[in-house]
Amino acid sequence: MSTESRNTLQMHGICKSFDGGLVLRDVDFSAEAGEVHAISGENGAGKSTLMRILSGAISRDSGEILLDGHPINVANPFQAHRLGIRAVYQEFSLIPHLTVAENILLGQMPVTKSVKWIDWPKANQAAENILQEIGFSGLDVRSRVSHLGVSQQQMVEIAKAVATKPRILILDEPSAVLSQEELKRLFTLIRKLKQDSALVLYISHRLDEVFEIADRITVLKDGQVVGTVRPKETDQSTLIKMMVGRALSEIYPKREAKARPTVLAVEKLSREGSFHNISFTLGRGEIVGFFGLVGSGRTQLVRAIFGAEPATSGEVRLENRVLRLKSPSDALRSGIALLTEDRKRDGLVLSCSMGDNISLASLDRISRWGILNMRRRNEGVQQKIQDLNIRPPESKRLIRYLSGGNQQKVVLAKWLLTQAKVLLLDEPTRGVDVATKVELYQIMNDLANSGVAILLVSSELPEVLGMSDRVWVMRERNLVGEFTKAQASEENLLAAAAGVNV
Amino acid sequence: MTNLMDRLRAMGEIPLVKMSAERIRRQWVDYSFLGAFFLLILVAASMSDVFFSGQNISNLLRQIVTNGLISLGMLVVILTGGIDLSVGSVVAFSAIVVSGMINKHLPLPIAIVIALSVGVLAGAFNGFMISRFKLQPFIVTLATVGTIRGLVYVYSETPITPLDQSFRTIFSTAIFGPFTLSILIMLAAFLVALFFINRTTAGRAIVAIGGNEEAVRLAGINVRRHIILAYIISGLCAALAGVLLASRLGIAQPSLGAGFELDAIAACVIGGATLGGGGGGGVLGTFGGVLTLGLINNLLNLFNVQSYYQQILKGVIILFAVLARRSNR
Amino acid sequence: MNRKSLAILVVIATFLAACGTTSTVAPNAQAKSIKIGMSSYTLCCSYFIGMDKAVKDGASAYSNITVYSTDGGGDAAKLNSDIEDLIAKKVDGMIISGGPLEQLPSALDDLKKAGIPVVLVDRQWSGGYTSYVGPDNFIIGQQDGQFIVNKLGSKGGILAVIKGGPADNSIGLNRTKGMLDIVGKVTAIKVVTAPDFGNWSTDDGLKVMENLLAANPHIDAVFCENDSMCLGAQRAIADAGRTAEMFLCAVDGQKEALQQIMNGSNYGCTGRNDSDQIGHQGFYRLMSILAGGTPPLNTILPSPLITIENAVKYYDPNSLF
Repeated sequence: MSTESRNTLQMHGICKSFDGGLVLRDVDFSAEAGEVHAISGENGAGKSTLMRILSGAISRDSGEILLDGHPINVANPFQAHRLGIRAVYQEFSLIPHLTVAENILLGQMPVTKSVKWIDWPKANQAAENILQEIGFSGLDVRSRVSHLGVSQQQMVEIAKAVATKPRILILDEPSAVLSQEELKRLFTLIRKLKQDSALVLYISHRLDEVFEIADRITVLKDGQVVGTVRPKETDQSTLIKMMVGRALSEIYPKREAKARPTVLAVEKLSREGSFHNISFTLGRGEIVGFFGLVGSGRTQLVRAIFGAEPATSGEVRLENRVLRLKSPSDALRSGIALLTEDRKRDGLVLSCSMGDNISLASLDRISRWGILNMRRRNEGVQQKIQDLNIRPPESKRLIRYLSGGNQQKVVLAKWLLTQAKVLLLDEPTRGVDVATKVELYQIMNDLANSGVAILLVSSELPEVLGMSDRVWVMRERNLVGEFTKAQASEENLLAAAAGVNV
Repeated sequence: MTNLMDRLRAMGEIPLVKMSAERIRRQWVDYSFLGAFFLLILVAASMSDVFFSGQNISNLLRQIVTNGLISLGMLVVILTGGIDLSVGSVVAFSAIVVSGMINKHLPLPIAIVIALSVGVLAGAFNGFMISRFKLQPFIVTLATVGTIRGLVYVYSETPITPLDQSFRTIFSTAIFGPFTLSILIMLAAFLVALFFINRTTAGRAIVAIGGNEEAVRLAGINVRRHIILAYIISGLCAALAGVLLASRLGIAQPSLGAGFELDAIAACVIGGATLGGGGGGGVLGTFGGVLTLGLINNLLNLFNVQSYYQQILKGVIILFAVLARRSNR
Repeated sequence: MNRKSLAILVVIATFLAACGTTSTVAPNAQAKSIKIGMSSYTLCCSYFIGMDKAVKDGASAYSNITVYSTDGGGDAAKLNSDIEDLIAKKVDGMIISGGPLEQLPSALDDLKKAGIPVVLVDRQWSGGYTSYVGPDNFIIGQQDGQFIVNKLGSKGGILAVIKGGPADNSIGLNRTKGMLDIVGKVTAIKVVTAPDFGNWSTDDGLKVMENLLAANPHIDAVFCENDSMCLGAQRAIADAGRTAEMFLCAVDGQKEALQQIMNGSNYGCTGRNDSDQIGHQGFYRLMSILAGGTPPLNTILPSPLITIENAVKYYDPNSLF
């Protein structure tokens, strides 16, 4: 491999503090052209902050950045663009009311020669070419971005960045919303960029992705560099140890497989265009995994069981009673709770306190004649904060000041306070750091052991395999297979989800 | 005093002593406003011989009754992430209706109840249109500003003077100290609101709706019903303000109340409320906002300052209030 | 954060201090100082500002008189509060310019209780005041009505009326009532009232007139409740090429209207309302009351009809209004 002196990008002694807290302390980081360099670490380790400094989104307090050995100044994203540094963040920067083509070609739309009108055929063709070239064909460049799904928007976002042929491309959690298929195309693109000697900086929680694509991995912890390793010379548990600072002998708790009495029975449940003729059962104290590609209908299914988007036919029975599920309050009254996949969009009230959020779904339970029993409320909230080890344990703290992992715990606490018998968890560990993930797995295990039935919807195969007593696979709005813990493996679950024979 | 503080703390309005650094910083903004406010009073006291006279204090309190009540209703609506522009028209409607009913020789309580139900109806209509059809509150209430004002003129083109003398005296006779019944009603309304927002399920739901409507719906709470409730509260408060105003002025003018919504919004914003996104703003803050606006008016009149400067100062204070809070985000 | 809060405090404090010191200049300490309150319903427009200025101007000659002036901002409740503040300030006498208000019983009661004499200017209320000085809008309307009747002659014609609004604005109502009092006696004159209000402004006067022109193929005369609206209406008529068809009559004596009348255009007449004169008269009326005089209850100031014959006499190119 190349020597250190050939490093394209060098960052020296980068420091950054927010509100008095040091987020990055003396970070030294270097990477070279033609490599994929992953940056790993728990939430709050400073990965995104480091990348935002590089892309000019925020300023550094001290330290210097060298490009090809020359100090550069990236005070704003515009300067970064001119130096060939582009970033794709978790939050999209697309303009929803414009078309895909307009977004990709923003600021460089072709115009007709005579009158300066926008040359639409040319623009669409150019956008199409770009998508083709980077292997993202299949998107309609004429459709408005607001009409696209989240994963497609992510593809457009990436295409927009790649279209400028950047020297340094920063991808911050690109896979969070992508399906397996889309991820494969992204990896193909990344390898192509690598060949064109671009530098790709890749941030991801998913260690298997990092191991697959990265040439080198730099691990950050508490704003400091722990070290840089090569995937070939290490393994996942070593990496986790570097990230978390302690060994994780076991990520997934041991679960005992045994027969359990049925609590929830779903029969021939359908909703036009979302899922079709779904039947399955969920046992008391059982964890059942639901695996499938993005768009396979899993989210819609659990939303229907929760009454958020009612099913059009079929029935749901809880302990042999047929439920009438027209709204979430119907489901909650029966003892069914749903943790939604996007906590910021529909899980949390960011402007409210932790206590308000945790008690939100139980207001009726802790009040009489509409007047809250504050003692009961505070006791309940405090109990959940303790049970779930939410940090800091201040019930009056505003949610927006919590880390992602603790926010997710607050959402879970909200549903646990309703004393639900059935928990529907839709991507419960998305965007959560490894340490919190492990805690969440332990909590799920404890809940199941106490008799709660858990339906776990997840796109992460290891999680589904590690946690579930049984696994159901959905494909194209249908339930296509059931696997016991013993039968389930990465290969056969993926095959079932993608619809190919092994 | 300590007892009161404890109770306020229990209601969540005053933070516990144990606070993190960032909480202290956030609180500091509020306290600095409190400081500015007391400075205002101090400056006034030192420079005017009449400011602390019983009559002037009584004047000041009576003058903030109208804006106080309207702001309270406005706060509830703003907490849901909405806005109610129609309050000024509702004030006129209830003032005209209560005067008209009194002159039809209806007993006073019945006349007042009819006037208040006018406000409830107007609020229910606003809330229904906004929640049922998912229309923007600004647009819906902008439309009802004109609709309700039109109805007022349909009811009476000319001002109505309520002939029942007791209607005028009942609210304005001092009960103890400078406190008249109208002032006590307003103070009671603030206490009820403090309790409603912090201690009832509906109050907490309304606050949460402003932050994230979908999350509240998924928490099994009937969002539509609570939005309607918020606008009903706003309509009711405005109608109550209209009744008290008709009693105070001794005449109900159909053109009454134009622009009242702006003072109410200003009071909420000074008190920390955020327009559009919900969140922020509390009952005590709003009371501070109402008092501040009332003080500006009262003080500058006592100092014989041209009204143009009052407008400038009002604007400056609103901008500072918003600016100081922005830096905390 | 510290510094910002401090800045806020300093700004507010200095603002108040500045306001306080510049405005409350202590009058001659030896003489008995006299405090006069001047409360206006609104200081929106030059007409009312002129009145406010005239009172201050009248007082400026006396070193021991201070005028406390307030602006109700077009809100009856605010006007009421302002008067309360001035009572607390212990003014010796009040002048109130009530705009379109019909009455403000509670303020008048309070003033009476405090023993403060009240002079109403421009706008007469139904009772409870010490003295009133101002025009009679009904008489002004009658003068216009007579002019219209004379000009149309016995064959009559169609008269369009543009009101200012809103429906409870009694100033406008009285002007139109006075005009109709004369015009109504001539059966040959048919009155068409615009369904919209002209909102006392030139641009809305223009809009309302456009609609009237579209709806009525023939119009002989136009009456507006003030000059601003008629100036807009005149423009609309000219744009429609129907200038020769009709003439206009209004009230106020605005400079631009006088110009039109002097130039011999189709602007026929206006009634003169002199806010400067009203303000001065109000001030002196209050002075005589404070000196112990017993004033007449109502004094109607003459509002001469202005036509091409006498317009030049009233035209003042430097006038505010």
